Amino acid sequence: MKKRMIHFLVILMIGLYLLLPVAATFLYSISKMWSNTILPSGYTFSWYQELFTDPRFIAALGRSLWICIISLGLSILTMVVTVFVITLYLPKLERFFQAIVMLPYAIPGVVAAVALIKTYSSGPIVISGTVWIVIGAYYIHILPYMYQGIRNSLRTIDAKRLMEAAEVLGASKINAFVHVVLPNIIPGIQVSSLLSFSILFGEFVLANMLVGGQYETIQIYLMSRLQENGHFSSAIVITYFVIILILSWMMLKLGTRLQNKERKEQVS
Amino acid sequence: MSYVQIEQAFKKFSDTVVLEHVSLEVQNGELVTLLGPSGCGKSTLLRCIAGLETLDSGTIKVNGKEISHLPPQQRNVGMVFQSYALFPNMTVFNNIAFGLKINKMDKKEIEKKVNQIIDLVHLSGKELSYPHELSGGQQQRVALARAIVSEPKILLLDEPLSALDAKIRKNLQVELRHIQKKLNITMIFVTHDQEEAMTISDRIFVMDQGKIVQSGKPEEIYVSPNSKFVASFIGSYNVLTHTDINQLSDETLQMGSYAIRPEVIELFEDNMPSISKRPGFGVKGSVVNMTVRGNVRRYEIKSQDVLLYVDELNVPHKPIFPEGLHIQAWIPQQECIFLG
Repeated sequence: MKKRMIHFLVILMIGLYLLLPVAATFLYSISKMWSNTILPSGYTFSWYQELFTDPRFIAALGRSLWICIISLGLSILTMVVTVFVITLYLPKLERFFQAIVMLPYAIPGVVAAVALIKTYSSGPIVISGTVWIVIGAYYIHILPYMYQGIRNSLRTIDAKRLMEAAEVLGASKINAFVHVVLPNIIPGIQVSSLLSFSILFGEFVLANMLVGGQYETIQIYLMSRLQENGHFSSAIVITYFVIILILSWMMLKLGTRLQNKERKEQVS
Repeated sequence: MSYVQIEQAFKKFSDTVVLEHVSLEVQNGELVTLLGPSGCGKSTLLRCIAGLETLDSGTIKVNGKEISHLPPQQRNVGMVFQSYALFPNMTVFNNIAFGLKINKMDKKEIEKKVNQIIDLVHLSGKELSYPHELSGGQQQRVALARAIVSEPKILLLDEPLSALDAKIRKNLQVELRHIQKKLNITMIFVTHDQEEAMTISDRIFVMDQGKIVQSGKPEEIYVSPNSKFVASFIGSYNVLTHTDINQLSDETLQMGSYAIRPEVIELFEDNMPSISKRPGFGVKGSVVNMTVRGNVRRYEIKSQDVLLYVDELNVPHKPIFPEGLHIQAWIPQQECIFLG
């Protein structure tokens, strides 16, 4: 009983530690005044109203979503196939590949941004200052997460053995990949995607340095309005959290639906 | 003509030779075992037959047709893996039906065939279960059903029972043999367990370092091993040199090594006269250890520097020789198998 109490207490404290800042931010975002009292002296949703009616905010949100989805989509499409081929058929290249994908961890955002601007401001590919350079940088930025997640999933399910079993049963390599390997690594892809998405959605340094005010993302918008009013920026932060929450939930649902669909197809 | 013919199969991985000009033949409806320690090349040979590895040289023919250059999809062989390799996202039914669906068989036909096989491997009621909901033994049955449902020309089994516990393994060995005979499938079974090989095979090929070192019926291989390796691998033979024997008993034999099965040696208390009527020679020593292995007692007898293993039937009326007791071991002459 005493032990259970201690466990409960530990969890409660960690919960409080994690939730308190969010709760305080939320309270601040709906308060009229909060200076020398324990709780706010009045409540209002006017900050949210102001935020949601600001066309700059809606546009920034749309831009953020757009570049995150494009970068993530490109990453999923290319990385699943690449990691699959390397893990199963070119294991000798694995070390080399692993070293390359870990580079974004080692290079600070500012350094990466300056290098990218320098490289892409003159031929053959001139994309400096456009949204495409951000998408390219984001693609690289999430490589480590995507690579690790997909590789671990492939190893967990022993993809090599599953491919062999399917091939001996008469399936072509593509059929075996689509019907056997892919459905089993969806949960892994999903987790990596969620993680990558949250990282990209909250990314500021690369976006700010590569395109800055020319292509205002949600983080750049947040930064520019942070100085104006504490209540207002709290409302932006909470909205940002809620959006991440909704998107994560949607992606999880989508993943489960994809798996269920696969199962139903097999039964019929 | 033999159903499966492998001629001069040669395979190496970088600098290591894994198969060194292996040749073997399997008759239609026969169950043969490739038996050997890990790393002897038995699994590689099986994978070459399945098309999962390619031979560097040599040929594999099934029913007269050369298949060594065909991809696995076109070889029409079934394979059961050590790790089962069941598809985790599919139910038992769909796992078994996978090969048939890929080959675009009629839906009704698939259902009929799969249900028949499910009955055969005693998995009725588990059609809608997922692999992770099954026990190891049940998973292995699914793997077997999946491999035989499309009626392959040969069925390859790569240590299929090694991950199971002893009792289930023994049951499945019997069942496997039963199914093989019932469907008259040609099977090539890989194992490192000599007891398993003895139990299920029509013939055994003993492999060592990429070569087949002996082949024959289980009883032939067991009673007449042709090398020190086979003698020590196939049973717990005592392998003694002629000098050992000469030292222990004054018996002079032809120069070379001799294999003596533990169960042919008889034990007598030292002070008793040897009462065996079989011609042979006695060896004096003392009991170092005795372990009961179910139906037999295994004695370790130390005589000078030589350790002899002796198996006696574990029956109540036979006295147990305690550790440290001086004892005489009687070795029948004709049971000393000359290994060269």
